[in-house]
Amino acid sequence: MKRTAKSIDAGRRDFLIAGAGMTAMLAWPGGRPGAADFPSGPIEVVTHAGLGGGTDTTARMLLIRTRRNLKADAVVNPKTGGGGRVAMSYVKNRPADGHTVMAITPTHLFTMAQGRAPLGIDDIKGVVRSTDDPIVVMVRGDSPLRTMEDLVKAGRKTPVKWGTTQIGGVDHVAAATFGKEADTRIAVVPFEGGGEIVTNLMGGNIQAAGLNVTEAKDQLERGDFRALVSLTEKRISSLPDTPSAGEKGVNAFFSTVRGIVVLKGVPQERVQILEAAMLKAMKHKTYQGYLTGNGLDADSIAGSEVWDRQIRRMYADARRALLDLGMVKQ
Amino acid sequence: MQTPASPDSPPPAGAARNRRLSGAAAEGGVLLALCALLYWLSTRFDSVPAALSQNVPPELFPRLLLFIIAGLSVVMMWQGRGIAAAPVLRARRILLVAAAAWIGCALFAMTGVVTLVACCGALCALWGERRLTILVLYALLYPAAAYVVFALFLGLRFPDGVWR
Amino acid sequence: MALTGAAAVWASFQDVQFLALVLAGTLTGILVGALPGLSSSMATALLLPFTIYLQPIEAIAVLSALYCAGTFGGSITAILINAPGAPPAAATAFDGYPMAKNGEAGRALGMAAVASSLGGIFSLITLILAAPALAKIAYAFGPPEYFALAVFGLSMLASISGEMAVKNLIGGALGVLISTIGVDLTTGVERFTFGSPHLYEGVHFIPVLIGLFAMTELYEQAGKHRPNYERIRLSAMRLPSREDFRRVWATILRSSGIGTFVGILPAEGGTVAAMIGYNEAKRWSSNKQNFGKGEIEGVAGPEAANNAATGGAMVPTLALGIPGSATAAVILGGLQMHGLRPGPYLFEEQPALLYAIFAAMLLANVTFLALGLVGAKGFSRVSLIPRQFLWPSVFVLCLIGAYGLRHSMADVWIMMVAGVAGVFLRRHGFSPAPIVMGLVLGTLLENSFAQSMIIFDHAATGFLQRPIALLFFALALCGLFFTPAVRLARALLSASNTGKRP
Repeated sequence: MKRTAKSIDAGRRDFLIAGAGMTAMLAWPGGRPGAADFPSGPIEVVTHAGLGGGTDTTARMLLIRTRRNLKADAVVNPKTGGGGRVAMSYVKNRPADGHTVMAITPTHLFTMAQGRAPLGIDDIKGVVRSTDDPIVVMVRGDSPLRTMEDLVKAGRKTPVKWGTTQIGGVDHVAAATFGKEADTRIAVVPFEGGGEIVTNLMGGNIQAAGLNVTEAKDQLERGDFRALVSLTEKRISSLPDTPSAGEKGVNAFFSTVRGIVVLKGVPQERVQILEAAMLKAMKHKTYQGYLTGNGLDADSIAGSEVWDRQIRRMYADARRALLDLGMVKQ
Repeated sequence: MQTPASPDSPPPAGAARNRRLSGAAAEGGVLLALCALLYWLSTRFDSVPAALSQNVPPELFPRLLLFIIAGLSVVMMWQGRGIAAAPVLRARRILLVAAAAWIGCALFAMTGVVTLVACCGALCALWGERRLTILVLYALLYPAAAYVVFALFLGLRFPDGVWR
Repeated sequence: MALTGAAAVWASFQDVQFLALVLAGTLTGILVGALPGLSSSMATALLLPFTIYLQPIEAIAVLSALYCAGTFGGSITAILINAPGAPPAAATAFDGYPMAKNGEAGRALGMAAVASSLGGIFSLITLILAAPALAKIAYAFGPPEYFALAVFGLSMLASISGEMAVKNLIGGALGVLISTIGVDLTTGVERFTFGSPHLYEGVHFIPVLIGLFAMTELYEQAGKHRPNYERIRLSAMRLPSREDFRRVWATILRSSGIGTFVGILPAEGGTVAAMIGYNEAKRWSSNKQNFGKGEIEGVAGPEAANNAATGGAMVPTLALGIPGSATAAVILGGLQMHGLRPGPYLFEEQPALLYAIFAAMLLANVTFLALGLVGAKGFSRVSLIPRQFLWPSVFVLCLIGAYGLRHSMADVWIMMVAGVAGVFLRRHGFSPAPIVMGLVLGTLLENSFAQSMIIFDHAATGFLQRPIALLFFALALCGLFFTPAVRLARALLSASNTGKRP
């Protein structure tokens, strides 16, 4: 509690600004423009979700060591509402100096792809990826649908009831894209969260669901759930026996990712400073312990180049799928 | 407080009961107008994507409720017929307090916790405090205490407003 | 097994660091619970990253203690200033605040502490004895069952009779209507949002509640002309009497059962448990007319239920790895962060952890009972604060409470609008409690219905094949006719009695 308080104290914050500024000058003694005086104040991480959610917790875990690496204070600023729209319009109106960064999830990309966001994909630049949790198609352990082919065949007769989260989000679009690419029919049953999907798949109210590995790790290990196919190009390391959509020839690749982005206008030098500090923080055992505790591995984290490419591809996929579904606001 | 005529779920307390249950026609009229407005709004929802068109339509539930409310309003108007409308409130101080509260909220958005000092002072004065020292002390100390507890100790972020 | 368990619990009570952490968690919990705008789920979330420096058992113990105490803490502000400090305390304000206004703040606070503690301990015993078996209930509840549960919860509105009945029904329907604001879960269509991103995720009931209750009361108080200093009523600090406890024990027991059950259901937490606990307390009470005017059963009912829901929520969290409430979700995150994986095997593989959680929550319940009873006398002095300081202070708490929920000014405006609406509603005889009940249960009602219809291939007859759902529908029907039947019986009885008398 008291530690959090430290990050909020306005008076102390000013003090830290001065302190961090000076330290930063010592640490990066000039040379390239934009880098010398950065960070000259606290880093503000804008999230779109309330306290205690995955995005919030991931951001806070990331910041524990980032503060130390940047020698600057860092705070989480939740701007909830509108599927990331409130956070995006806040960030849009902040100066592009690298002191304001945004923690994004597929929600932001999908809101952009629906044409309802104040920011476009070309207004942002990826800094680091902090988690990468692929979506895996699962059924209950005793389901007659034993393979992906069974599921596809069953869906051609009657639509498969498939649990997702909100309409127009990554789970829904993943289900719809899978249905289209595998030429089968899916009846989407939206729920408010992953926990509810797990309960309902277990209770037999739905036949299948696209779940993150972390959401159903125990159920998979115990045999309560069976993984039919992972919506990735290659097999994922935690499920070596589960075929990937890539090898099945189904062009539906979706993953629940979290990461940090900045506005396009932020100088490249500053992006690099942030990237280096955050990557170092995520390689520390504090963050690694958080990842493994949640069933993720070190592959989750990635630098600016990989992450930036991934969000762009995900945006393009989402845009295509949402246009198909008639869910893009003109 | 005790009106035997209304045994269930009265307002928690303090309502001016003798002025209650009157002008049902006016109340019902307002509710019916509200229902009509909301019904009109419900005709302007976006269309449902084709893939989901079999699901319960988004306007069904709100419309069902609007019909229920409209129906109940008519019942209420029938039950309350012939009862005179409530006398107008003596509300000058309520209006002043409400104005102070609304202005306080607007300023809170712009300037954060600093506003609360002015707001506490104004409300305290409206409630009849005339001893200036005590008023100023209260207006300074209470928001300061709130700031310490919420922002420093518990980590709440107040709006930055113009300070950033 | 039971003996080793008791020994393990006893051993943890002798560990000084463990005790200190649990006490710190309890105190923080009461504080964040009592302050509007900060709830136990937010506090645990903020604390979570720092528990990584603790031993796993200590980390979970401090989080669970905070969870229990935070749920209790909400009742303090609900009773004293009509603004619940945490969502689960919403229903406590219905009767707690009228009690405080009648000069019985101490009685209400004392009862809240006792009922909370008993409810919490009841659910903990259930947790330790039967968690793996009870956890299966979670799987038996799909959308159709939740729909039936919501119908049951709302059926109380319709069973109210008297001249207020129609206004209560209108209020309940308005509450459900407000819950439809925002994006529709099963079609993704925005409703009544006017394009505003702040309304996209819907209207949270807490700002509405603070507005309708505390702000409306503030305006009402502003309109009253009274001397600034009221005579100090000594009764304000009096604690509940033995007679009070004799009256409420059945309510506490019933609510403990309800709370534990609703807590186990993953989609619902303390708030719904408290609403149902309140409704049932009222349905079974012989002082029905007094509800909403300061009935002590109306405090015991929701308070026992919402604290029982804490233990209940831990059942699926620990036994299945499915969080039973928002705070339980954070605790689950804490378990995973420490490499502990909840599931059916946790009980066999990690009994020490389980007993530590049990010990921490038990200790938290006992501690807040003691603090609550001792503190009730102190807290109840709040109702003796001169009005010119009390009400401006309440306004600041309302403002921060609405804002702090999601760090959103939009919620502040919703609170302010609700406050003004509340003045008019109250003037015209609409009570705010049904509106809040409709708002809390409305989302569940609509979403679970829409989900059920997809699951049933769009044929409503599917409900007939769900026994649990049918049971709740039947209970709702019984509830509808129970009150009139009792009233009829009483009327006949008194008629025959008066008939016999000369």
